[in-house]
Amino acid sequence: MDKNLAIKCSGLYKKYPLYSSDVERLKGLFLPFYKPQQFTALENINLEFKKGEIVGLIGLNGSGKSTLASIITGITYATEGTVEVDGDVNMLAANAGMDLQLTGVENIDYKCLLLGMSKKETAEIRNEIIDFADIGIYINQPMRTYSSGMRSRLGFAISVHMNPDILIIDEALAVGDNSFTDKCMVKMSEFKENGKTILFVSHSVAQMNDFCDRVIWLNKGKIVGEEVPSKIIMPYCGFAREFNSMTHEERAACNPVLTKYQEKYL
Amino acid sequence: MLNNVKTVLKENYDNRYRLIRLANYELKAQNNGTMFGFLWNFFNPILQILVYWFVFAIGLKSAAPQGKYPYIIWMIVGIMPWFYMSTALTTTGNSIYAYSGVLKRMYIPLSIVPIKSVLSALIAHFWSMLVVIGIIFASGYSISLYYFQTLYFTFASFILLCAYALFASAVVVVFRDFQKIMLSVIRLLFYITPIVWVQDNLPAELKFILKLNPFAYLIDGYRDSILYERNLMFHWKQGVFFWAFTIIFFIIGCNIHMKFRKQFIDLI
Repeated sequence: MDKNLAIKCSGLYKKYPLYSSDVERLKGLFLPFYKPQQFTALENINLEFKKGEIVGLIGLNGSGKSTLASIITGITYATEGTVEVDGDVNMLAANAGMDLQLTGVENIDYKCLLLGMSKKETAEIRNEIIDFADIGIYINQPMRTYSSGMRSRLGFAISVHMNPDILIIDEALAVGDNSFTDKCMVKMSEFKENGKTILFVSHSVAQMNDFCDRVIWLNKGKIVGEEVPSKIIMPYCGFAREFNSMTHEERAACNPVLTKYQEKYL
Repeated sequence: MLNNVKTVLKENYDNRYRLIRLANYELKAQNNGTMFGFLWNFFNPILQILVYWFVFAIGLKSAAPQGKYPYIIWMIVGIMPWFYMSTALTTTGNSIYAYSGVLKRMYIPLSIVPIKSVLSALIAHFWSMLVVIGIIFASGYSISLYYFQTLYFTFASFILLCAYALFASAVVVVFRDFQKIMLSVIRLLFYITPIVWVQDNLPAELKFILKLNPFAYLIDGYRDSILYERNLMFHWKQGVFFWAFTIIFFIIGCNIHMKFRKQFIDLI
């Protein structure tokens, strides 16, 4: 892999077998020639992410954004193709690894522990996380008493302090009020200045416009196109609007082409 | 085949601090919200010993096998290691499945998940063995250097349980009924292993079959070390069989784990 690249995906496919029963599932695992029905979540994805680049990933629900993000993180595996990653990857997942019975501070320790940090490293960032989350006296209360906003704030605060080389944000900024979102965006800009690679999955096109160097549009597991935000976000929004007024058959058959929507909406 | 073993060992070695702290955390989590917290590590075995002492020594008036020790001491030296093994056997099957919430959103090296459950049972075992040794000492018996030989049997059981953990946690993900089946098998194992009954009166053929039970080797080993001052060469044939079985099982466990690991996240 090229030295300037942080992530390289080549010929990536992800297929999910669809089993209708547990017996089928066992057959699928043990019988070599048994082929169940399959759902193709990603189809022939070839992408390169440069070091220090901020890349946005847009697409309708079910277009494969999260699947791609979790393959890059190493959580799930591609059916075909390869992913090469240079550096630590961390998916910013606000609600993962939180135990509702534990207090906020204990959850900070627990999540740091899950991510493999030492006690010393955890102690160093604990206060920063508490400041960033800014949830007051609730930090010492069990998490089951938190509002959903508070949970996400804490989860997000922990994740942004992990300091990985490659950060993957999967719709995690959609939570919290505006002041908190602003705070997060400041933190993201800090990451950008420090030369970290960020993959940003979101439905918030405004954030993406401000923040990304490049945006990739996925539809039904295929790449429609990749462009600077100003040349792809409006076409995508136009497509999303048109999609709403389509019938089921049209939706199933539609295959958006970037240039067509660029002509129409730019 | 051996590459898979290497991958599993390397993953666990590279993540050893995370592994130990996760195991400690899992143990602590069981006592979360209780007032006595850490002390439960001692209360639990003491309460269990009291129950068994009442049932077997007072209720059933069981007699001890040869030797200077009363039945109750003979029994707890065998049953405490068994509690550790049965805890590990019952919890590891579900270990990956129960972790799905975390594993789906965070990258954690998968092979450390079953191992950390074994390790967590092992840590509890250290505390309960302290209780056992304390009771023996308080009953007026002296403590010998042979006690250190239990460390070998602890290590041997740890490897056997890790092999099972890797195997079972992978199988349970694809075939959930396995855990239910194993719960019954573990209960059966308690009775076919000479833990609360004395094997001396068995016919020779049955004794031979018993020698093939790896858990019998371990429990006997604990008793040999603590009660009878026998060194481990006393059962060397059983030892050779035990290690042959355990190493093969460990290789199978690693391979099953690696074979299914790419599908774990999609299946849980």
